[in-house]
Amino acid sequence: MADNDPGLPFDDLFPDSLDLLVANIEVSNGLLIAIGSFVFGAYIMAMQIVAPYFERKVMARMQGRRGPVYVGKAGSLQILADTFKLIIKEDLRPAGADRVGFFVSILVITVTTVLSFAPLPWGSKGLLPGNFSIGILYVFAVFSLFPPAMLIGGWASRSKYSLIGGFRSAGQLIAYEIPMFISILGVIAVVGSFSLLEITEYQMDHGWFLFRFPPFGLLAGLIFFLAGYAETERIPFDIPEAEAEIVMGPRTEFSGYRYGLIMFTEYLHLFINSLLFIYLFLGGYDPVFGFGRGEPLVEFIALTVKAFAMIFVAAWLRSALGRLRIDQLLTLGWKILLPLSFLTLLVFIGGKEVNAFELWN
Amino acid sequence: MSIDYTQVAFFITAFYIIICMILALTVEKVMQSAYWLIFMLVGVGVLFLLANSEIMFAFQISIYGGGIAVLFLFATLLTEHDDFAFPSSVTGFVRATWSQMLIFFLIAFNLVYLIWSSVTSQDYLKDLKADNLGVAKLGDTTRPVYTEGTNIGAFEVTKNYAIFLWKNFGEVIPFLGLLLLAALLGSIKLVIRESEIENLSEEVEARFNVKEVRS
Repeated sequence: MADNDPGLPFDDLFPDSLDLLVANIEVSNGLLIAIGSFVFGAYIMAMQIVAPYFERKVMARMQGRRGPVYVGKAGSLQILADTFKLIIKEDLRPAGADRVGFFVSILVITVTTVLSFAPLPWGSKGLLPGNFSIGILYVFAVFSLFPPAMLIGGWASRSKYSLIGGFRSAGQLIAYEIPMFISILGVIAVVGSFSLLEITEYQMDHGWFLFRFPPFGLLAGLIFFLAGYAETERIPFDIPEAEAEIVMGPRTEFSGYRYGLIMFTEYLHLFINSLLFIYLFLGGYDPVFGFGRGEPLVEFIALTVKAFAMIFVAAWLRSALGRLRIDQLLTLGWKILLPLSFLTLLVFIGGKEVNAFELWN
Repeated sequence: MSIDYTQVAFFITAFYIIICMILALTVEKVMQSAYWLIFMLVGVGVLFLLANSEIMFAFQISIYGGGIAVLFLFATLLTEHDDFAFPSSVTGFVRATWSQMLIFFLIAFNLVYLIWSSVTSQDYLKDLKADNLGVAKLGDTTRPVYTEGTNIGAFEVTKNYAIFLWKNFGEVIPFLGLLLLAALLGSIKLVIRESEIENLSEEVEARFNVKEVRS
């Protein structure tokens, strides 16, 4: 590895062992990036086992139940057991289903969700799978492949519930993607970069965006959180899979490993939306009160703790609220969140232009 | 011999795009045609990424792969159409679409002629030799992908693309618009059907004044 390469990912995670490695073996940058990506990929996959368990336990406690208890200690292996069961189940395809569409929609949904983790930094010192210069724009670009995949999956299942669910899903995702993106344009304009790394570094120096420009930072954060939460299609925004009306929406006909992949992407979606909210409004990997700032391990743990705090909020909302009607949902998206997101954008850009940030805070 | 992985990736992507394009034109159902078209558009986005233009990649994927794609799918599913829109025999296909095909081939020949004359002109070749066109920058794989302060390389590459296209192929690009227009007309012909209003209930007939429409 060349010494004059400061921007290399994972350079400072294990400095001593890395130096020792470099002294003896010639490691190419590509290999190092591959190893790092594998480590973080494994971490993210492991989180998808932990997060549903955490959520189920929290929800159960809120509803006066105990949640999973039988498999493993306090039911901790329940999700693994479920995953294993789904993988070994028979793969069924409805008669008359579109073969290619049925297969490819699941593929696109899973791959795009996993790909959207690429530009997320996990610490200040190059703990980063791939720092694209377009950062957040890349995540949104990859996200936008989700609605057509849902619609194709719904159509390809050859079931009326799936098709109706596909329409609802695509409509909802489009309605909430726009306010979601506009609410963060202000942040991008103030920082002057799409890179999540730079957005986080900016917040370390100038304070978290949620508390800037009161109350507009809070408003932008709330819009982003609600829109992002609606994108995950969970209660109270679970109209596409409203189980009392259309069984399970576009997911109705998927079984076995396909169903497992869909549930997996659902939690990945929750995880990535929580992480994006943290990067954009809650200071990213910046530890609370600046304790241990600059230490990769502390920052990494801080990010994980924040992510689980967001998952706790999601579980809380899920167990506390009922489902919105579809007209209420679209009204919230188009008539309330969209105008408010434009307002926050104007305030952010205006504040930046007249340099009101220093005066306001 | 060292292998240029970018080039390998380019050929794989190009092959994928061509396969998707052929499938989009030859599959039986309109809906299948729509999703193969979407896969092709996503492949074009990957080509932009290989050419180091992340901005173009992001917009290609989010606008064509996402927004336009949903529009296509909604339009296909919400309009009345035959699932099997394409005539089964070649002669049937030609008889049904000869006027559109005539326009298409006229425009396509024009396009090929314009591009060929641009690429083979002496000025272009001279510029290419002196590297005044910024072509070298387009495929520059040594450019750091990592952000360095405000110096974001991707914007520079995107600007070079725009200059390169409008400087050398300025007269070609409007014709692409015409090509899209021809596609639009074809798609309208595909979905247009005479609506059948015979089997309506009396209530609906009264509400929409169907008798007047029939007469």
